[in-house]
Amino acid sequence: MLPSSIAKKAVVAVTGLLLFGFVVVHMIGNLQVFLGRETLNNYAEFLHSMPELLWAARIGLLTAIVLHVVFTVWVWRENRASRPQRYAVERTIRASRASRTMILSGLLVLSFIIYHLLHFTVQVTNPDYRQFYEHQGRPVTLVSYEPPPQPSSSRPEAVNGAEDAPETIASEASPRIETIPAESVPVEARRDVYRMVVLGFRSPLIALTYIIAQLLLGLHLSHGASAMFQTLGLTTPKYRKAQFLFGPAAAALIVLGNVSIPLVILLDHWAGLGLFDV
Amino acid sequence: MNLTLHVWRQQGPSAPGRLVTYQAKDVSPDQSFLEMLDGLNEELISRGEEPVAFDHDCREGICGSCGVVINGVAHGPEQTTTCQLHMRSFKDGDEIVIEPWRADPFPVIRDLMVDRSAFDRIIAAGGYVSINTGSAPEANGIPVRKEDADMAFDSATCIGCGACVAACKNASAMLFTSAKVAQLARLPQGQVERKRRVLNMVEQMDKEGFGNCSNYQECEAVCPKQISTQNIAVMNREYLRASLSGA
Amino acid sequence: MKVLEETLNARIPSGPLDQKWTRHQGELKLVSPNNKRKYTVIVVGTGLAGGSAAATLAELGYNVRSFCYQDSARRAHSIAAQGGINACKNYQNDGDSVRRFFYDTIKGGDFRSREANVYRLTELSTNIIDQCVAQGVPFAREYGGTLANRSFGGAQVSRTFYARGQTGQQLLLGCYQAMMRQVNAGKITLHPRTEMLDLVVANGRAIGIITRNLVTGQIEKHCADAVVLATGGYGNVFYLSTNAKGCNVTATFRAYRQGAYFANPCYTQIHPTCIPPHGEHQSKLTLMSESLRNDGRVWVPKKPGDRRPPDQIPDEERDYYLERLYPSYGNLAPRDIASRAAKRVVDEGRGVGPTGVGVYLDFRDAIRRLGEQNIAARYGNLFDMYQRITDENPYKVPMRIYPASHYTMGGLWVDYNLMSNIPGLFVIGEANFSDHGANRLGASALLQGLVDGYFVLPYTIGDYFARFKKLDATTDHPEFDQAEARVKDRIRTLLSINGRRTPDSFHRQLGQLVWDKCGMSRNADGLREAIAKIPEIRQEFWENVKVVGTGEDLNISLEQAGRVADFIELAELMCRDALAREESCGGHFREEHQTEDGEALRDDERFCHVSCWKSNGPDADPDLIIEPLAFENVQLVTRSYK
Repeated sequence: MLPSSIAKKAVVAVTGLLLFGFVVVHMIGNLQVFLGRETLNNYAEFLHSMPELLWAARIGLLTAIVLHVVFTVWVWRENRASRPQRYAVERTIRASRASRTMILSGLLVLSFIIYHLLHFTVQVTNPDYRQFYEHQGRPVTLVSYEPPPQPSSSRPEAVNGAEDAPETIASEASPRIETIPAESVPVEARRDVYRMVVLGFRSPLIALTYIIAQLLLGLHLSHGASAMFQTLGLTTPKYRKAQFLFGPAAAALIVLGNVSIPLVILLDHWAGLGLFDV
Repeated sequence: MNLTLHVWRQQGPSAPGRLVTYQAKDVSPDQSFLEMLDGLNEELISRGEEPVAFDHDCREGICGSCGVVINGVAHGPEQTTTCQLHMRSFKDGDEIVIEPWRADPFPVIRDLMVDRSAFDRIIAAGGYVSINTGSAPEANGIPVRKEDADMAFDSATCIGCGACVAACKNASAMLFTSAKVAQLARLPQGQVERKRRVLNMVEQMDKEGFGNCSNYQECEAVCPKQISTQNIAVMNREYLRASLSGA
Repeated sequence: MKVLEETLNARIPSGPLDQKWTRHQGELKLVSPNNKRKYTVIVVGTGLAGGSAAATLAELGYNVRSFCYQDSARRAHSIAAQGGINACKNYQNDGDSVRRFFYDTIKGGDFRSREANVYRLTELSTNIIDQCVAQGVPFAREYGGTLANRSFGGAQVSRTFYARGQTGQQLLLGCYQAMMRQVNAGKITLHPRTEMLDLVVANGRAIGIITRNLVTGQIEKHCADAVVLATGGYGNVFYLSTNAKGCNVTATFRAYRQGAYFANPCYTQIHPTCIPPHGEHQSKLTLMSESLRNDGRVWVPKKPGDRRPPDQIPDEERDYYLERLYPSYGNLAPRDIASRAAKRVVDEGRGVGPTGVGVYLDFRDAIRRLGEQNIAARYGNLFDMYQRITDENPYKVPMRIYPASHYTMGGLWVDYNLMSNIPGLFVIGEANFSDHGANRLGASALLQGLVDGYFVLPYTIGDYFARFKKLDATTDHPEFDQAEARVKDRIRTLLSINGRRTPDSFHRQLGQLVWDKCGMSRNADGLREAIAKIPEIRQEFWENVKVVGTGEDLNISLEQAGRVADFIELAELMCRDALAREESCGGHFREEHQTEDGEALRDDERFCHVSCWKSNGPDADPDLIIEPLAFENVQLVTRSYK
């Protein structure tokens, strides 16, 4: 039996709620970029220290995204079919722009997510990020990356457990960045997420892409984060007003938080303030 | 005042329709919108043309028969029924586009008249308290909180005009269906069938081909009885609770 | 006019008044449950009477076919009743009882109703409240959770139950939902957008109806074991009335032409609190609930022609005429009395508003006493409606009201079992004449519709089935073909005239004439004039009406024309009845018969009876049959609300 209209919308709302939660956590995590290299890289290291949990979360989020998108598109197609003949004059009285563009903002955010994953997670758009490491609080760069001959080599994933990696000390010449051969990554070195983020957002095009995407996400959430209460039947007469304000308010905070990262980095770069130590 | 009307004319459900332009002359601001259409029809009949078909009956805003989309807004610029809309809401020289409710489950019968029997079938699926005549207990035997009675009343004022469907971008009937669900869920008399009712009514609503709720709030904005979309939240809750706990 | 010597058997049970119904119920014959499903009942109309009857008959096991001209069974004009429904529950402990309610109703009807019917109506009123509450009707409640009451015209106790200003709607939706439950169960077949155009009578019994499908134009024959008409009143004969636009007399009038007696057609109720008409384009009048008179005070300026705005007229120059004339009931005087008083002050040139046709209904004092918020809680929706229609704010400016045609006490004659003189033809609700005499009390129309449909007809129809031999329910009878031919002929004629005037223009002309000559007050000359004039209108109608389109399709002008044609014939009957009743009673006020201070003067010697009219066809005068009214439990007194 096919799920009912309400059940379908509930799936969208529940997955939306999960994704909303992720967005909040993700933002809080990323804002640590303002606290410096060590904090952010500690956080990144912490996340990667539990690969099972990390992968469970990744699979969970991926499933949520797929369900969110599939059900939304399903519902959207039904909605289109419910009014085959359009009005000659179409007018909107109360529906917000956000609510009317959910499918568009949603799909654009989806394409951004794909780009974002390719950019920072899989790093296919900017493979040089794979060479960014931190050693004793200093950034180091692998000059060339070649697949190591043995499994116990210095692959980035194996950094923590690579006992027999050669002991090489990074240069003291920081803040200039030391470049070291790939084979000589020190055992206590870790990925330099900080540098990746800062350098990434110094590119105006990338920063702009992120900023636009965050605005779209904000638009999406300004409706979605309120509507989910309604769809799950959680609105109550007493708190109804607050619940309808929740979406726009939460969206504003998320946009503010998320946009601040690329924006501040880019402005800092242009102004040459040197707030970010790469 | 004089107005230019663009009225949707359509012979039948499967016939093609189009907007036809008419002039409405010497319209008085005190006339209701339907009286203005009456005037047009009188003139059409005198000329030997077929009058514009539209549903109407009580003309005091309560039977729910009337309803057309006026310049893109269900029931027109005032939040009331079409029969209670007065021409003082328009000004001399205005162009008015008049269309029928448009929704797949509301096929056009003729011109501005649509078939809303889908609403009847939704009510038939469960929008009642199953009590036979004669088996009612003493009316004051079950006290009902005044707040509950008032809230139930607010939901129960729905006149079944269909403006919510017409205004919804998705042609959804959630507001109509939820008003009845919420009314009966609120009252002690409706408790016994509470779960079955919401499941059956939603099933029928879906079967009729209405769209889903995107929380646009357009329905509430045009509802002549100001039925709140809070009813939709109540129905969602009732439905999810009923389906998760088993009817 | 010929007065026939025929005696009508009203089948009123013997015994003491308060035991008649109980005893009668015990004596009514029953149909066994197995046999009920072999019977089919046609119910025309889906208002409170038709809806409640259809639902209850279906619950009992009968097969019901329900017809209405609207697109849904939820729209009949019962829905527009605002104020409330009376029931002598005595929840307020203010001394109400069946006996008191009975007396109020008999007196309100100016001693022109049947004691036994009225007693049953009031006795069953308490069951109606129980039934409706159990259906989920959200009546107004007190904070303690019990039901609230308000007072209403013509009563000194608070016995009116209400759901804000939308009581009719809530009760009708209750009926409608009960009906839809039976539709779901397969016991009711709905025929919406279908109009009854004739009654089929064979061997003296009603066996079916002829209908027109308003969408396809199809003429259909429907047979049944009994036909129930619940088609409402004929207030639209005045063209401007508070009735819905579609309300019409066709079903009952066609039944009259087929031999059913039409009783007391001159008893029409003019409601005192309607929004005054504004111009010639007006299509209907809107009622403001009588409940407004609980807190509003009715007044006009003392000086004729005083055009000052109301707030500039000081209290000493205002005439609160209802309070002055009827101190004990004041603004709550019954409808006919309040209406005539308004007409009188307007005729004296003291009317208000741009047309001078209207009186003030002022909430100034109530707002001062209770605060705007409380007034809004009681009447908010009515005030909004008023403002929407008139563009005036009644919280600031007094409302303007004027009487308008609202309800018709007259209707097809029925016996105690609600069966007409044609066996198998039952008539319930406003369509019959039975319970309100010459004037109906406010909040009793809803009651009568529901009592008839829920608690009377379902018992008495079984008695008919049990007493009469079951007929083959088939449309093979030649009478069906004849009726169909009659209907088709008429439609063909209407379509072929191709004259110059629209049906509505005839309706307006007729309405104006009937309002002037047979409206709030009547006199012999005016009535004779109308009786002479109406046949001329009829003749012109049949020569000069313009109906466009075809019969085999949705055709609005054809629907209108058919209804207007019947209104024209009915109007003549109304005037004849008004002329024949040489007295004033309730809603029927003959100027020749009034007291010195202008109150109605009954003639109990000559007119303590029901006037039943028997049709001899459209071109011959009808005959009159008298059903005498016997009063064994109340004394006929002059109705006084002073």
